[in-house]
Amino acid sequence: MFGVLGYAMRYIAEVKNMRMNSEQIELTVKVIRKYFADAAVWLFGSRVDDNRKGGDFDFYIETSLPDIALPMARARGELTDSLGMKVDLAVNNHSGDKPIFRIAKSSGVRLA
Amino acid sequence: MTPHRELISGKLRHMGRMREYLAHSHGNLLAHGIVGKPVASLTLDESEILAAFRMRFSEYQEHLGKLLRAIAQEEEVEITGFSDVLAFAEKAEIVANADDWKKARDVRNQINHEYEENERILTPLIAEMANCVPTLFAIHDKAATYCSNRLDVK
Repeated sequence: MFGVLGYAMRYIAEVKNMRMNSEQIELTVKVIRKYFADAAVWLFGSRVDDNRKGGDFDFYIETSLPDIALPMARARGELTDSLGMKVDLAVNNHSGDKPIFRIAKSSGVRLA
Repeated sequence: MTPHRELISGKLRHMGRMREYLAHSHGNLLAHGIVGKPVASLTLDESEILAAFRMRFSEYQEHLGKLLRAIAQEEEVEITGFSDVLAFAEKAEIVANADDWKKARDVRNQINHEYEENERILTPLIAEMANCVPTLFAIHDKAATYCSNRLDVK
């Protein structure tokens, strides 16, 4: 299932500027799509800056799911457990615009 | 009684008091019909009830987690992270399903992360938090029974 996707993620991890390896990307996308099946996913924030160290993982998600509160809470918890770091999610289901959505999408690296 | 068992006994007493606080706040939350209401429409008194409930829920779950960890330590479980504690608690049938615990934890963490104006997020999370209270009380009951039966700690 993750053959082509896995290759694409290795490519993203190697070519794009970010501090996240291909296994972490694959795991992240898998967890996020468990809760948001149609999600488009970006990494943004300090982890897309190669000159920084450590830091939280910030993900921006676009989805058509109308009720995002509980899936967001569950995905955040599972990602925090899996990645072993603090994770923040910005979830845009197109019910309203927020500055953080535009910042995340324009500065982030698309993962899936 | 060993010092560690005395410590567990102290935690159980403390948890009993915290449970009373949470049950009181939970009852207030339901009695005032706050679950499902938009946060912006709450009166100052209702906001205070909600704030007390959120704080007491968070504290109660945090201390319940510490109690589970202490029981696991007493049972000499090798603990590298809380997942080891949860696995033990599930096997010992203190926690019916580790996912129930994680759901309560995730809701608590998310709610503390949200701004008040995010009503579309906050309102369902408050409802879910209220739903999780009986689950936490059931875990507490089973932990107390385990301590009494297996560790002779009350």
